Parts: sequence; C-alpha cells; structure tokens
Amino acid sequence: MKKNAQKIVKKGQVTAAVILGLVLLVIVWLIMYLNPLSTEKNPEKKVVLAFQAEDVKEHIDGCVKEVSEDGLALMGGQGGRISPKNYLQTHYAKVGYAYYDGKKEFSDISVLEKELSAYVQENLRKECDLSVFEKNLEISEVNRVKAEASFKDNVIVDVTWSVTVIKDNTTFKFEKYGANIPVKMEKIYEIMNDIIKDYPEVDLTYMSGLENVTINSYPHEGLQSVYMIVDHKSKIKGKDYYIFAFATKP
Amino acid sequence: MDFKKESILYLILLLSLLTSFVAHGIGVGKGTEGAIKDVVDPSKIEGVTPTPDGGYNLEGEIGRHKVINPTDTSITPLKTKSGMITNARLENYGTDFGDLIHGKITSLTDNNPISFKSMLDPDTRIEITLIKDGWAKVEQYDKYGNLISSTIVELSAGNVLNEVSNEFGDVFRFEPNNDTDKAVYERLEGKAKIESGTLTFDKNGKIEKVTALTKATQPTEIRLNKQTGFECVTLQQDGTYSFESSEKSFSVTNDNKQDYTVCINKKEKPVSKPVSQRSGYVDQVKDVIDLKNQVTYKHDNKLVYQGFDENNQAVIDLKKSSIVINNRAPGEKISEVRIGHHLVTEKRVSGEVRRYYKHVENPSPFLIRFYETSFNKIGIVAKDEALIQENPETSSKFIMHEPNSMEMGLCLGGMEEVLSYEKERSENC
Repeated sequence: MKKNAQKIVKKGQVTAAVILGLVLLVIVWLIMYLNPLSTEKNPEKKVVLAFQAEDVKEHIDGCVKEVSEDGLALMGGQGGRISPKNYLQTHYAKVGYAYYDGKKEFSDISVLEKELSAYVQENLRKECDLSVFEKNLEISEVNRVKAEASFKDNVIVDVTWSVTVIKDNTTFKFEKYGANIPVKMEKIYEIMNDIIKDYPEVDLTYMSGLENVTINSYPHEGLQSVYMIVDHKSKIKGKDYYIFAFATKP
Repeated sequence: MDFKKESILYLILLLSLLTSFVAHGIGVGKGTEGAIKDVVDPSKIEGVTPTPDGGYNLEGEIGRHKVINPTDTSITPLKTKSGMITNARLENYGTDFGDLIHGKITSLTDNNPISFKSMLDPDTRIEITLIKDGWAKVEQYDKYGNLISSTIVELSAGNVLNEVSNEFGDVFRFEPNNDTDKAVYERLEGKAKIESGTLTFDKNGKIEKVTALTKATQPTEIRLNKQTGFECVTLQQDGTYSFESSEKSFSVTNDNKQDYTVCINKKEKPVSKPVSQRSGYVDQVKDVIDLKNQVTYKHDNKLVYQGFDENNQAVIDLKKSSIVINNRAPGEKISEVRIGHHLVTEKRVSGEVRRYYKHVENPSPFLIRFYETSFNKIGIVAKDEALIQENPETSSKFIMHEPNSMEMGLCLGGMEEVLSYEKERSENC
C-alpha cells in the first residue's frame, strides 16, 4: 500500500515538473518574442518586418502604375504630349498635332516614351504618399527619381528611387519599381503613323485590317482634323479601352 | 428626119422641165408646194403691201420668195404673220406666205425678237431674241432651193433661241456659250443637234439641260419630245446633261474622250436602257441612276461620284441613298465618292485595290448612306451624321464624323461619345 502511495506521489511530481517546464518555455518564448533586443537573433521577427517593408514597395509600385496611367491618359488626350506646344485648342483638351503644315511632328516612338518617362519622374514623389506608413515605420528617401518608359506590346515603366524603411533597427532598402500597363502604345503609334503617312489621304483598307480598334475622324476648322484612336485591347484605369487623340493640319 | 427632130424637141422639153423642178425644189419634202421666186425688191412680191413707216407687210404674201441682197430694205420694217421685224439687217432672207423662213439677221438693238416659221414642223416656230449686233442665220433650204430635212440655226453668243409650239407653248430653248463665235442648233425630226451651247427643256417645274462645250469637235445629239423633253442625249467629252425640279437636281458629265449616251426613263415616256459600255441610264420612275464608264455625277451642283475607269458601273439609288460601284477589271484610278465633308477614293496601289479617305472643306450633300463596291467586301454606312466603315471580322471601325461633332466627341475625354456607337449615347455630352 505504502509503495503504491509513493509511486502515485512520484508520478504527480513528474507531471507537475513537465507542466512547469512547458510554462517556463512559453514564458521564455514570450519574453524572447516581446523583447525587441532579441529580434536580431530571431529570423521570424525579421520576416514579419520584411512583410511590412514590402508593403511600402508594393505601394510605390502601385504609385508608379497610377502615375504612369495618369500620364498615359493625359498623353492620349493631347496627341502623345504631356504639355503640347503645338496643339489644337478645343473646349475639352489641347490636342497636340501629329501632322502640321505637311510635316510629321514625331520622329519616332521614343518621343512618346520620353514624354511618359519625364511625367513619371516629375510626379511620382508628389503623387506617392509614403506618410501612411510613418506610424509604424521610419521611411527615408532620396530626392531623385529616375523613370524609363518603353512602349512594346504593353507599356513598361521602370523606376529607380531609393527608399529606406527602418524599424527596430532593421533596415530595408528599395530602389527598383515598375509597372506593366496593358496599353498597346506601339500599335497605336503605328496606327497614328499610318494615318499621317500619306496625309491628307488615309488608307481605309489598312484601317479595316486593324484588330479591335475604333478610329474616329473629327474634321475641324478648315482642313484640320482630330483623330481619336480607341484601342479595345488596351486596359487602363479600370476601363477596357484606351483613347489616343491627335490633331492634323495639312 | 421629122421623127428625129420631134424626139430631140421632146427630149429638150423634158430636160427643161426636170431642170426647172430641181431648181425650184418641187417635189422635195413636205411644205414644198410652190416654187421659190427670187426677188430683189419685196414690193414686187404678190400680196405684199407697203406700210406707212416705209416698210412692207408680208402677211398677204402669196407663195414663197427669196429676197436677194436687199440693200435698201436691210433695215426696213417687215410685218410678218408672226410679228414685226424692226431694227435689223436682213441678208438673203426667205419668206413663205407671210412668214420669215430663212436668212441672216443682225440686230441693231438689244432684246430684238425675230420669228421664223419652221418648215419641218408646221406646229412650231423658231423665235430668236437678238442682242445688239447679235446675229442669227436660219437655213431650211439647200443652195438649190430644196427643203432640207432639218432647220439649222447659227447664232452668235448672247442670243437666245426658243422653239415655240402652237400646242405646247415654249418647248426648247437654245443659248450659245459665252465663249463661242458661233453656236449651232439643228432641229431634225424627233431630235436635235447642238454645238457650243445649251439646250433647255423647261416644263411643269422640271428643267432638263444639255450642254455642248465650245471645244467639242462633234455635235451633241438629243433625242427629244416636245411634250416630255429629252429621251436620250449623246454627249461629247465634258458635255453635260442636267435635271432640276423642286425635289432634286443632278447632272451627268461625260469625262470620256469619246461620246457618251445618257437615256432618261420617264413615267410619261418610257425609254429602254442603253447597252453600250459608254452609256448611262437615268430612271426617273425608280429614282435610280446607272452610270457606266468615265463620268461625273453631281447632285445639287456638288460632286457626288466620279468614275475614272472605263470599266466602271455606278448605280446610285436615290430612294435607298445608296451607291454600288462595280468593276470587273479595275485600273489604277477607279472612283471618288463625296458624302458631306468626306471623300472616299478607290484606286489600285501596288496591284491591290485600296480605299482612301480624305476630309474635304467644301461639303457635298449627304446623299449616300450605303456605299458598296464589287472589289472591296467592306462597305461604308452612314449613321446620323457619321460614316462608318466596319469590319466585323477584325472588330475594327473607322468613323468619319461631320465637322460640328468634334466638341461633342471630345467631351469627357471623348470616351462616352466614341463608345456611343456601340453603347448608348452619354447624357453628359
């Protein structure tokens, strides 16, 4: 009887010790988890911080896309220019000339690419509000943005902007951002070129062979016209088309 | 010997008789009764009486006479059955029972009416209104005094010839071109030939005109009817047929180097369609104009269609507002069609027929709403004030707007208006 009683006491001691051990482990883990000084040695904590910093990068990527789309929309309404110098004034827009007094106003597509690059470069910092992250993160950025747009199948915008995110002595540095906007600028540029190739004559046979495109020709004073290309394969700002308008004067 | 002498005498008599017949035109054509008697002084004509103003009254004339070079009567007033002839110089004129029938007349005053009796059609008179120094020469006889089968009138510019029917009133009017020294109007049975002038038929608010340019080397022929106007017109290069009424006005011009026949089918006088490739058919009953070859079609005096290829056939249906251009073997330049401010051209480029668009400053009527060709399967249709070329296979559209639609099209970035052709028109614009 006594032996049995001793066995039962021993078992209870072991169980208590195990429970105590577990509780201690949890306490230690909690202390370690809550102790900021310990993050350097804690990869899990670092992962969480990385996620927070990545939000900043994603936000900037979103800004690049938004600013690029703004630029593209503006260019679309103004004959491929952000600030057209030679334009047809209408009630709604300053429509830049693509063809003026018998001459083409664009040498090649790089002129349009440079317009968008310059627009993103100039407006990204203004339009991209990083203060939303400042409650939790310390953010510093270099006052210099470099943007490069290329019009291939889609519009690709590559941005270089040095942004540093610091929290809990952990530093994350981001430099490269980008946006891929499904606006078929290369195709639209080709259409514009074809419209003005033999201007004032426009090749309707060529136009009928284009896919998913609506082209509007609006005659204006004298023999001036505004052409509006609506590409239904493009997507921008939640819409399933992109409009590119330009003016002509023979 | 006696018999021989007698035979010779008879032969001489017979020859004299024949010569006399030929010389006086007896037995040639209608209205030839009575011989023409040459006179120098009108007072010698039987039935002619002097007038108090020193002239002559021809109304009582018996027979037909030719007054040769009446030097002293050149500006003498003549009273004919058709009216007074004054202030005019007459040369070698002919008279027939009190009416003037031929001769050359030069007017000494403006707006001077001269009337000739038609020997071709007793129902008709040729009335010429001469300007000062204007002249007209009427011929109805050949040099032997025989009636010819037509009435030929030569006119200087500025004068007007009217063919007046006793039954139908004024029927045809002929006016010389301003740039001509001499215009010719030749009237034959059922047709007329004109040179360097315009022939007009103006009846019941419908005006038909045929213009023969001065540069034309051949006369323009018109098959006509005093009641219904022109039936078929054979135009020379750049010659024009035109029609005008309160409902519509159009013209067809021959751009071919050779002659071109236009036939006009009317409810009151059906005319069959010509088969020649150098012809056109204006069907007034169906309101369809079928034009082959190289022609220009104008509506309201504005260009609508120009065919540049001799294999062209354009069918313009005015009721359906459509044009269909056919060509089995199109050449380099095929056609131009103008609709509003839009010009649509078909031409062969690098072996392929292509269609081109051009905005034009001076608008044509928005007459065509359906445009088709045999050599391009994609057509053009009009919707509201815009022309749309749509290819369903590629989902492409080319929309040609009229000038006043631009501001609307650009509003709200143009998106609503642009898509209004596929969706509902935006109320915001």
